[in-house]
This record gives sequence, C-alpha cells and structure tokens, in this order.
Amino acid sequence: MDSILKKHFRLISEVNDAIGSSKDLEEVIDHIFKIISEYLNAKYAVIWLKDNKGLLRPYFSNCPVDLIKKRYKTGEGIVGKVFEDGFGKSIIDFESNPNEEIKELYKGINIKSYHCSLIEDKTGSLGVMEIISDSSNFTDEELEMLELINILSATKIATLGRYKLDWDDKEVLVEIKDVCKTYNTGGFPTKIFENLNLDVYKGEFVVLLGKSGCGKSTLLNIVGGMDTVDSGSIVFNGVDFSNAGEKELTNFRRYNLGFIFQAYNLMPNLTVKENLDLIAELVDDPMDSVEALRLVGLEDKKNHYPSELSGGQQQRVSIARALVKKPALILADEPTAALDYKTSIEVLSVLENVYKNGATIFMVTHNEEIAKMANRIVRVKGGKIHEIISNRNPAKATDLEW
Amino acid sequence: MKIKLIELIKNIKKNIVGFISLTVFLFLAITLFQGLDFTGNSILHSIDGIFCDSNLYDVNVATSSLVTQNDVESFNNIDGVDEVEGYFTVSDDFTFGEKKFTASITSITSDVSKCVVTNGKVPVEANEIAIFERCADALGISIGDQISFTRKNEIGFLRALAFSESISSTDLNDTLNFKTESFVVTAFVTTGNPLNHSPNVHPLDTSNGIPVNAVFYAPYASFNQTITASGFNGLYLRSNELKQYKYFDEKYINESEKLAAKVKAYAESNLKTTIDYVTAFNSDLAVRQFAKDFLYSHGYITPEQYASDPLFDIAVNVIGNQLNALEKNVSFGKKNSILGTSVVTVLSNLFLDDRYAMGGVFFAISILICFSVITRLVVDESVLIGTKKALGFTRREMLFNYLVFSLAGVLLAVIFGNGMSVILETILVPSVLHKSFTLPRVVTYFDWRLMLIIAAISVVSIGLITFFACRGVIKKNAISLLHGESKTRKRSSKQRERSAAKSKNSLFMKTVLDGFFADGKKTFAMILGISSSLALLIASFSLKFTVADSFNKQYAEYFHFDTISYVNSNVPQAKENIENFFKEENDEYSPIYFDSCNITIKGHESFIGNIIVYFDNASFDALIHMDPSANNPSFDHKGIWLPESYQQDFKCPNESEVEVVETSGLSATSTTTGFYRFYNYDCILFIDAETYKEAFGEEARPNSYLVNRSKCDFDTFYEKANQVEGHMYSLDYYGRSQSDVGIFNMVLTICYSLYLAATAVLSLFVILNLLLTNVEEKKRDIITVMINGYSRSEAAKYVYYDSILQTFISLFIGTGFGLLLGWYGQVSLESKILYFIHTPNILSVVVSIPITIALVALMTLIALRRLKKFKLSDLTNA
Repeated sequence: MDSILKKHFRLISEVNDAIGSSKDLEEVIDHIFKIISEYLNAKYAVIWLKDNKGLLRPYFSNCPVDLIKKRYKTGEGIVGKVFEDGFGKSIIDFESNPNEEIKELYKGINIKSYHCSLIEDKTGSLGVMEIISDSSNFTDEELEMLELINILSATKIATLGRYKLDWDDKEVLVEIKDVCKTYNTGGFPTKIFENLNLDVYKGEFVVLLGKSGCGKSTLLNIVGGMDTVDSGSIVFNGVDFSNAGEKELTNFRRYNLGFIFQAYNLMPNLTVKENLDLIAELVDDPMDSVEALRLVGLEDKKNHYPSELSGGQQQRVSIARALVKKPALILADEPTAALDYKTSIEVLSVLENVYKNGATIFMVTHNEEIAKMANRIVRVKGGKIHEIISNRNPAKATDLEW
Repeated sequence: MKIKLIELIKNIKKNIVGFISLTVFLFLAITLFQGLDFTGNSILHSIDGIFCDSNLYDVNVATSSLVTQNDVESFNNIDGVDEVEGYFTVSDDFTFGEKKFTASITSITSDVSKCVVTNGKVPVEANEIAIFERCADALGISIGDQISFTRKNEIGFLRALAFSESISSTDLNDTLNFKTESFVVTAFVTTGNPLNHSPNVHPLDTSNGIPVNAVFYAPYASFNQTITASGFNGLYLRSNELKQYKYFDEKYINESEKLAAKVKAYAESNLKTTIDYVTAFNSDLAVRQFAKDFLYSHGYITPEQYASDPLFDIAVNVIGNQLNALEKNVSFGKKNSILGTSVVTVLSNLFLDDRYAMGGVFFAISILICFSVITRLVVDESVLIGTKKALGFTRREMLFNYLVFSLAGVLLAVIFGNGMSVILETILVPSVLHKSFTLPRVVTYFDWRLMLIIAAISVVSIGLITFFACRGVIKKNAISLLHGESKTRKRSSKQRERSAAKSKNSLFMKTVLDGFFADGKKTFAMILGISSSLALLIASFSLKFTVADSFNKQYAEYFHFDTISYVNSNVPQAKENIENFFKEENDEYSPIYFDSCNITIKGHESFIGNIIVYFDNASFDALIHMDPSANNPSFDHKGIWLPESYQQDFKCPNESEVEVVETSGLSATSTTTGFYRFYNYDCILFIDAETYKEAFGEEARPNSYLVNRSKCDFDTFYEKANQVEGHMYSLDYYGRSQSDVGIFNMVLTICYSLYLAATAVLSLFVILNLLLTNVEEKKRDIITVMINGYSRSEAAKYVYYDSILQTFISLFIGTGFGLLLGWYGQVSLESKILYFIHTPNILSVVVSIPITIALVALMTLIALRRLKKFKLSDLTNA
C-alpha cells in the first residue's frame, strides 16, 4: 500500500478513536490538537467558532497571544474570509510572504508557516482553524491531512459545540499591555518579561503556570500594584495604574484587591476574627468577618490565634481575609505551596467555592494539576507567555491528583 | 585555629551591628572610668611635676627678722635637711595702666623653689624682673613692660635696724625696697608655690600678711642692700629623702611634719638674734617698753613723741612678731598655706569620685545593655542554633563561639578604651587646670594595675552575661528552636470572646501591646535604653544646675554681704573713716576680725579655711543668716561654728574638738558648738569675740568689715574706698566665690558633657538599633497590611505605637533613676569645702524629659525611614 495512504488511514483511525472517546468538545479539541501536532509540524492552533451572534470567536487557542476578546465578522480578515468563502488560506513561507494582519494578530510569535481552513459539516460552516508552525513550512501532504482531520472532527465539533457552547461575554477587568520588566541584580540587568500582553476578565479563574523563576510572581506583583513596570500599561477597570504614585496604588489595593499569600501572613497577635477585622476596617462596606469565616468553614475558630490552627486552616483564614473586603480581584500566590496534598485540596475547594460565588481569581502556581481548575491557563516560560489555554471544563478541586 | 578565626570574623560581619554596639559600650565605659581615674590622678601628678621642676621647698621658714648667710647654712646641720637657701621678700606698690596694685617681690633662688620660666629669660640684672604668668595675664603685663615700685619700707628698715649692726641711723631716709627705680619684665614664670594660682589672692594668704595682686621675682641684688643688710627674711629647706614622695602621699605629709618640727626646734634654739628679743617679751607692755627704749637709744624719737609717732607702732609690730616656722598644713612643704593645692585636691577628687558616680554607673548600664544586645543576637539565631544542635554540635561548642565573639569585642574595647582614657586625660587635665595654674607640662598618668583590673572585670562580666544570655536559648531542644518561638501573648478565652475592637487603631494597639508583653527581652532592652538615656541626662543637668543652685541659695538665703574691706589699723581714725564711708554709701556693714587659718577637727585631716570673729550681733545678723543644719543647736551668737560639710563628711558630733592655727601662729584648741548650712567654696569658722578670747587667750580686734554694697559694682566701690584714709584693701568676696565655684563648674561641665556625649551614643547605638531591629522584625506584618491596602503611614503605627508606649514607661523609670543618680552625683562630688544642696533638681527633670522624647522621636523617625525601603514585592518574592 502506498505509504501516504497508510498514513492517511492511520490518521483517520486515530481521529475517529479520539473523537469517539471524547465526551466533550474540550476533549475533542484536545485530542485533535495532539494529532495535528503529531502529524503536522504545527506549534500553535486556534479554532474559531461561530457564536450565537454570528461572530467568529476563538474557542480554542494554545498560542501565547491572548485572543479571548478577538472577534471576526463573516468576511472580515483572513478568518472571516475563509469562513465566508469556504476556501482555505495558506501562507506556506510566511517569512518571505508576511501578512500584516496575521503578524499583528500573532505578535510575538515567530511564524514560519501559516494555514487557515474551514471547519464545516453537512449542515454548514462551523468555524475556522488556524495552524501556525514556527519551525518549518507546511507541506502539501500535511495540509491534506489537516483537511482530513477537519472533515472527521467537524461533525463531532458541531454536535458538541451547538449544545454545549457557553458564549458568556465577560467584561475585562485587568488589561496588561506590552509590559516590560527588567531587574538589576548585582549590577546585571535581568529581563523578566518583554512586551507581555494579557487580559483578565471578571468572574474568571486564571492560573499563571510556570516553573520557579519564570516571572509569574513578578507578574502577580505588578497586577497587585506592588511592583512597577518599565514600560507598558496595567489598566484596571479602565484606569491605568502603571504610572500611579504610592497613594493611588495603596487605594487601588485597598478597594479592589484581596491577597492570599503562600505563607498566610496572618498577624500572630490577633485572633482569626481580629485578623479579618483589621482588613475589613479598610472599606466602608465589608463582608461580615464571621460570614467570611463561614464561607471558608472556620466560623468556630474565630477566637483562635493563628498559631493554634493548622496550616490549611490558616490558609483558609487567609482566604477569608481576602474576601472580607469584597474585592474585585483576588490574587493568590502559590496558596498551597506550603501544604500537603490533603490540606491543599481543602484549600482549593474553598477557592473553588469562592470562585463559584462570583469572585475573579488570579492565581500563581507551578503545579500543572492545580492549573486544571482554572478557566484559563496562562503558561509562562522564560518571561514570556508560552501559551494561553482556555479551559472550558475546569476540574473540581476534589478531582485533582498529584 | 585558622578556621575558628575565619568563623569568628564571619560571625562578626554577620552581626556587625551587635558587635559594634557591644564594643562601643564597653569602650565608653572603660574610657569614662579609667579616663576619670587617670585625669584625677594626673592632676595631682602634674602639680607635683611643677613642684619637682621647681624643686619646691619641703619646709619654709618665714621670719620677720633677718637671717644671715651663716644662719642659712647652719640649717644644713639639721638631720634630714639637705638643701637650704635663703630668700628675701617684700611687698610693694606699683601702678600699671591707671590702676594701682600691690605686689610681693621675692628674690630668685638658684636651687630650692626655683622659678620655672614659661616665657622669656630669667632676670639676672638688677633692673630685670619676672612676673608670675597668671598675674601677667590678669593685669595685662607683657614681657618688656616697665614696672616701678614706690613703697617706703619702713618696716623692713626697722627690721634691719633692729637686728643688724651693719647700718646706721642715717640710712633711715633710704627706705625704698629696691636700688633701681624701674624694672623691665623679662620673663613669665611659674613656681611650685600654688599660692600664685590667681592674681586676686586672698588678702591674707601671703605669709607676710600683706594682700597682693601680683607676684614678682627679682635677682637678690635688686633689693635695697640697706634694707636687706645682706640678710634674708626666709629660708627654703629641702630634704632628699622626701623627694621620693609625691606631695599628696600621706607619708610625705607625716615626714614633712617631723622635719618641720626639727626645723622649728632648731630655729628656736639657734636663731638667737630673733629669739632673744622674742622670748624676752611675754606681754605687750614689755614689747612697747623695749620699742620705746630702742628708738630712743637710736635717736629716732623723743620720749614725748612715743604716743604720736607712727614709727612707734611699727616698731612694736616688728619687734613683737615671732619667728614663723609655720606648721604642717599651714606652711610647710608642698602643702603650703594656700588655696592652691587644696583646690587641686578638690578638683582631683571631683574626678576620682566621679569615676564611681559616673564611670561606675555607666559601666553598670553598659553591661546591662551588652546583656540585652547579646541576648537579642542569640535569640535571632535560634533557628541556626537549633540547626546546629540537630547536626550534632554540643552546647559547649556553641557557647564557646558566642563567648569568643563577645570577648573579641571586649578585647577591642579594652585596647581602645585604654588608649582613649589616656587621650582623654591629656585633654582634660590642661582644660581643668589652665584656669588656676600655669602648667608647663602634663604628667600623663596611667595605672597598669587598674587597667588590668578593669580588663579583668570586663572579661568576667561580659563572659558571664554571654553565658546567661546564651544559656536560655541553647538549652532548649532543637525542634522548638527550629520551629521558632511564638512571641504571642495569649489572652484568655474570656478576653478573646469579648467583642473585638472596632477600630483598626485599637487593633494596631493590641498587636503592639501583645508584642510588648510577649517579647520581654526586647521590651526590657528598649526601656533600659530609653530610661538610661533619660537618667544620664537628668544626672548631667542635675550636676550643672546643682552648683548654680547651691551658690545661688547661699547668697539668697545665708550670705547677704558681697565684699570684705580691710582696714589699716596703723592709720589713726581708720575705723571711723571707713564706717563713715559705708554710711555715706548706704552700705550695710559689720565689723569682723578676719584671718586665714588651719582647721583640724580631732582625728581628721586638716583644712585651710578662714576665721571670722564678729563683734556686733545685730549688724552680723543682717549680713549673715546662720542656719544650723539638722540635729544642731540653734544659733545664739555664741561658740564656734563650722560648715555642715565637716559634719557630713567626718560624721563628727556637734561638740567636736577643733584646733585652729592662724597665719600668725596663734592657735587654739576648743570645742565646736555646732555646724551651719553652707553652700559655697570656702570654709569659714565663725566665732564670737568672747569665745575667741577664751580659746586663743587674746582679744580679737576688728581688722575688716563685711559689707553689702548697696549701690555700685565692685570696681566703683573699690575706687571710692581707696580714697578713704585707712582703707587697706577690699575683696570682692562674691566675685571671688563665683570665680572659685566657676572652677568646679568647669569641671562639672566637663563631667556632664561626657555624660551627655554618652547619652547621645546610647541613643544612637541602643535606641536606634533596637528600633531598626523592631522594624525589621515587623517587616512581614507591615508589608502584609500594606499589600492589603494600608498606607505606609498607617502601617508605621506598628513602629511608633511601640516607641510611644516604651517611652511613656521609661519616663517614669528613667526619672526615678536619674534623680537617684543626680543625688549620688551631688553627694559623691561635694567636698569639705564645697557642699551642694541635696534636694532633687526638678529643673533637670523638666529639661531632660523633652530632650529624651525628642531623641526617641528622632530615632523613631530614622527607623521609620526604613519603611520607605520596604518593597511590597519582597513578601511574594521571598
């Protein structure tokens, strides 16, 4: 048998297996992307699907560019045109034939080869898939295989997507634009990140994932108004805080942010309730301290000192303390790093609860498993956003295992 | 060994602030203690140095007659006398500028009691003269100035006439003291005679009873040979055996007394020229008869002129005077009848007493502070200690490291402290003495034994405190050390259940209070630092204000006179003239007999003082309020009264046996009636005329007046008084008291300046250090609240609420401690001739408290600047 044919058959078989075993759209797309990565030299993929307003929105993306608020009308841009015309668009040698629109959209990515194809089933067009290689040009054979994958997966996507898609339009809370940060350590400048862009939306649970030293804590500090940027802007609720003075930053933290620290940082001389009261006093309309403690399951410990609590309990108090101001954004810095597995699950369950009650959480962790709880996983590597993954089915805290 | 040394250096680097604190405090304590000791001793040795440089006499024989060179040399026969030299001294008047002064001029000796030239060259020609440097400074006399002496020395002439056969009565007209009309000042000198320490010496301090403003030295050949008749009116004697002693050694005093007794006995038996006449007269009548016969036989006066001729009274005085071989503390050896060495002794004692009052107390405070420094250091390393224990280090090994650390600090402190104390001494001694003495050289004193003792005490005390500081931590088990001690004050469950504080300020306060009680060692260190600063400030200002308060009290409550005017009783109507003058001037006055004297309470050391015999109770009471001190009988114008300082120092009863010897040699032994309150630099024995006669066997006759100048300043008063026939001299007693007290003030200024400097260092090293440590310890909490939305100024409450609380408590402790220290300073620094009021000095508290608060506030502000350096990201990046 022709080797190409064999390849194609294998591909078909794998796709069918993957689709068949997938329970939801996330899983389908996850499997599809793995297959695409295996068979094609594609580093990044973005799947645009039509929402209930007829706009094309990114449903899946693993590229380091935040596309979440990007929309295309039918016929608009390459994505819109491909969707309208039904014809794919390839820019095989992107370096020789750069496209400004693509370059602008995927700023920061080294695009070697680009392809955009339609996803359609028998009922019609569903969306568009873009794939990008940063190492080599796509071959015709690869593009043919992509065609196959599209056809095979389209029906499943259509089936799952129509019923399960959740197209909530969330408001942006934090906009991080072209932020650069360099530290001077012992006279040597260390670039932490350069031209970083990220948005955080209200009601989201965003996780910054990365190994130690990748810059995720620095980014948290910057969002929290505890550190400054060298250039770029940090816009919170429409107000740019990147050049704010100390007074403005203090007020920003006071009225908008709640913090959960890795080491809890409770006042050792105050009781649990007093720790919350100390922070509640900052705002005019705080949550009742006891109520906050109830949310974290510790109302019976209100008169205990932190030293009389376990690590997990202390962290839960820390969460309650973060909640008591009713902040717009909760920043969590490796909240389970100092805890064992069981206690970590307890704390994460509380966080999950808090999130479900409408809080926006921006958490930093190095634990891949914990990241599964998030709506969006922003993977940071070498001071850059390596990929941003939308997680439509976040895992439950109790389901996590590591 | 090398590894241990490297470890020690690394330890020091790591805990550099603590190491420096420990070293600096010990250094200061050693410097203060030893510095004060060395200064006190150096003062004595430096004065002794002047004495040695000038080869000062051991015994001075002053005589109103003349002794020949043969007489002088015969004194060498006395066992113990190795050098003897005769001198001649006169008093004379001179005018310089527009003012008239009285001077004493003494012949320059070549061996004993030589002049030490401080500027210029020794006078050798008959018209050359040297002046005591201090007098030159005061009178504005420079080298090269011309001085002329104008007095007719009838007394000297009569003396020569009476006891020498080498002159004739026709030489009566030649009675000027000197052959030359004027002298050129060629040198400034100092001598071993501390009598010349001030140009305005007490009028009756000189051995020949004449008040002088200046002291000159001229070659013997300058004196009118007719007057001197190749003779001397004084002898300096020196003993080689006594040269081995310092003037302040007890042995010197005892041996000098013995020598003086031998000299006196020899003089009485061998100087017949004088003694024949002297011992023959046992009554005034006999003396007057002799004088009458003498003058008549020489053709000076006719019998009819005896009563009116002033020469007659002069002759009586001259012939009636006895040979003066002055005794013990009055005029012998280096401890002359002067205020000089007594001033020196008192000044020296001020420092020597202060070494305990100041140096010792500061040493104790330093040890306590070092204890808190080391304790903090060890507590901060609890986790490290726990780690070491877990790794297998023994307690002894860990303790050894801390001991080595501490002792390294001790070593540095001892080395630099010893060096600094010598430097301090070389700075302080001239500063202290320059007001009173011309000091050609400072004798640097250091006591190896004391240095070793202080070093040993430092080593032992620091070693012990290190041991106790470490013991508490090192003996804990490794796990509790590794987990860290929770410095939390746990309130009871009831306290916790009470409704929580509503305001963030009260929550801050709770945290501060909890920390205050939970971390006792830190709290103790801070309170110790602040209260010590306050106490030292109070003690410093107390010293400063006490002297002024005491002096002011003396003149506000007890002494209402400011002048003593001396009357020349040889001038007819002198008494009436001067009293009329006082009346015209509306000045209050009271007649007295005034003399210098040596006072000895039985069983105790002697002291130079003054005797005042009062004649008129009413006028006396108007000018002196005699207030007996506690447990003394009331003053009823009878008996012998001495200052209460004697009673306090000697613990003698009201009725104590006292011996008084006047400058003339007249002496009495009697019993004191009581002791009166006195806060001045002086020692005055008050006695009524009747008691004086009983004790001394002679009637006292008024020779001066206590005066309260109503209208004018002293210079104006003096100028007017000098126009009065019979006025001899007036002393600005108040001004002189101020000046004398000023010397003490100066010393105490030095002492309290040292205290103030020590306080500043204390604040800097202890208070600031503790505050900075406090801020660092609270860094995490402070950053946490700031991240949560508290501003930096709100978060700063964590720091300054602490300071406020600690300062508040320290004010009470420090005030109590400071008043105690101030009292101790008052009591230990006063002497028999200078007494202080002992009441707590409230002004010192009123001044010190704001300064302390300001100091702490300043240190807190400096510490709070550390907050500005806190990066919020430190918490998450850590």
